[in-house]
Amino acid sequence: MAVVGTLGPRLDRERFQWSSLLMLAPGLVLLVVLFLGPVLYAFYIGFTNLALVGSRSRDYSFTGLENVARMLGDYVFIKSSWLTILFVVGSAIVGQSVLGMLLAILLRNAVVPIRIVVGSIVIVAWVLPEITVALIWYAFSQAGGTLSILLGHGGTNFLVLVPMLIVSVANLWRNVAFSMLVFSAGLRNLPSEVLEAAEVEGASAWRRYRSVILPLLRPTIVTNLLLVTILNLSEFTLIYAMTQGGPGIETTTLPIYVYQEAFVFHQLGYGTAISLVLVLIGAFFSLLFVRASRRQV
Amino acid sequence: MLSEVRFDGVHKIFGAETAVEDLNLTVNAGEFLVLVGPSGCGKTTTLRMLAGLERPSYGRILIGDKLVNNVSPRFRDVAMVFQSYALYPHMNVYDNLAFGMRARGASKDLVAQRVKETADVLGLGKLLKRRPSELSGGQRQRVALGRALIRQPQVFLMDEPLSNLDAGLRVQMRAELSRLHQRFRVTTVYVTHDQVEAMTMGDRIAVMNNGRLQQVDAPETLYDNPANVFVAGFIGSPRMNFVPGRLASSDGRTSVAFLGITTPLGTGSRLTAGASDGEVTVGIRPEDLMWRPAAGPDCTLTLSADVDVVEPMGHEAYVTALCAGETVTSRFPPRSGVRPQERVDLALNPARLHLFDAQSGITILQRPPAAGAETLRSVGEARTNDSAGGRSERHGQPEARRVPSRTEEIS
Repeated sequence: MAVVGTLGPRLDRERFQWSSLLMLAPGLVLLVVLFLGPVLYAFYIGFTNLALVGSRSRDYSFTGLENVARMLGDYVFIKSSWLTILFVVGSAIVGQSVLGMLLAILLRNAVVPIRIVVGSIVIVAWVLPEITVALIWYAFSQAGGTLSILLGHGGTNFLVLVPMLIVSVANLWRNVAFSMLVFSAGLRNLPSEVLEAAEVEGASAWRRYRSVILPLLRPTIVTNLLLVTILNLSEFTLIYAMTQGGPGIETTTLPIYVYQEAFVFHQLGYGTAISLVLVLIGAFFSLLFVRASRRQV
Repeated sequence: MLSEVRFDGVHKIFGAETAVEDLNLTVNAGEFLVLVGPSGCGKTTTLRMLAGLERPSYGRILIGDKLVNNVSPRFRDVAMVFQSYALYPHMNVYDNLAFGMRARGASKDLVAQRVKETADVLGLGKLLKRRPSELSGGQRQRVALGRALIRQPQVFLMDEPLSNLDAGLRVQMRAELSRLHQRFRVTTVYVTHDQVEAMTMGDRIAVMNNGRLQQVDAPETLYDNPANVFVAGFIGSPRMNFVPGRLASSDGRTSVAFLGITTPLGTGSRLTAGASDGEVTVGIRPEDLMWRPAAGPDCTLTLSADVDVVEPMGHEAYVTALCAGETVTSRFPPRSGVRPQERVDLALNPARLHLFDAQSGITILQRPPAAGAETLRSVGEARTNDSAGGRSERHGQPEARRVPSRTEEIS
């Protein structure tokens, strides 16, 4: 240690120079003006009675927890939150991820022509504009549509009978390609010798999947869940184009409710407050997945 | 249970590439066979076909008496040690060892007992709770080995298992592997590109090049009687010297001219039927080309050479010299004092010469048994029955041995 003192300051430490701040300033300003500012402002708006038109659009004021209290007593909000969770868990987390994984594994073992054809079809569904997908599934599920004919109930409008199920499946149909691509990439990166070792050791396909592939894919699975949850939580176009949130409020998920409150009923403050709840739900799921990803190799 | 392994006219073709061509090879029950060759010679493909990870394009593979071409790796009862070890990174050592037995539905007690036994054999007892990422290279290697041992398979397959270890550990594990084989006597196919591993570990060595089997023999036989130029050059370090020569016979005596000298062939040596006068390739091992002052009385030939490079190795020195326009390497005693540019006299025992056909590279000389050679097997077409003393006999199935006709192989 005695030597260390005589050698002067260490050369491998990170250094800080005040002049760097000057260089960073333009970026920082942009970030504050275009990102941090609006976020904080939106947060503030959520606690006001700002309206889109009328006197409150000018003379709005901070109302404390009034919006929160209103939410708790708002039947539509509670139902809407529940629908949102149902949509995210059912369509995204379970449906899209499980089906995506299944497709990725099946296509990995498939012969090349099948892999190309099926893979392309799945990806085409993803590339289609959401409006197109909405139209396809709208037509598909109408009375006299393909679904009702296939099921032998020609007069049934399934979009009215089970609206949430239909929009969830439509969403799943469109987005499964995303999970499939993520999992395909994950599977490709698995160490092939490890899988071969498991095979030579006598493990059945199911055991190889459960005991080797799945644990090794864990980081990929978590990433997929995180992305899929965030993407689906704010899904608006597809549902709105198919049902406008109806019939009644049967498919009014939070993004649609936010839109209605803020832009149809002009309650910008309340709408913003609801969107903050959406952020909370997203944060909750993200935290869950990030924590899950920590428990690993 | 000891099982024999047989490759019967096996080919493996990838696209336009032929990785393995007409492989005929029998691994005797309980034998340690080393498959050696340069990168891309088809040795790993051969091993993977035996494991069931690749399907042969043509031919038959038998384990015991069972045809396994279409048997899934799961049901072949072979254990494989991979070059990368291929441990399960998310499992601890115990689970890594237990995986195969569990997969085959062994009871919990049996698994626990066998894991303990295997861990004791390999000195892994204290590491059972650790993940592979917390182990050193040597420890990982041992776990990979343990994972193979624990299952007590019919056949062990090892794909360059020592190539990722440092030099010291490699020597240690080499001895350990040999010891384990002595103990368990499981039929083993060991793939390596390292001829030292091949020489030290194999009961027999199969040399491959460009997808073709070149020669299968006991290590000493392979060294003393290489079937062709490739085997002669591949086995032995430093490499055998090859120089052009000329074969001439008169009055029933055959002599060979090379490096500016002419010598009759040694009395014990016998030319093969295919040999004829004309161009030949003469092979001289560096240890047979000695420094005159250090040479024995049977080194009757003397060559004059100009030293080019001296590489001291400690216990000896490799001297590269220019002799009659050819570059040759010779093994000198240490501290000979020889310097570059110096002119030295090299000595050679004519009985130690190797002769190969200049075109095909196939040996044309049957050399006499070298003193002290433990086993000798004939080379080339002379596939005789006098296998007395052959190593494979110790494993009880001499009649099962089927050394492929090497002269055909090489053509």
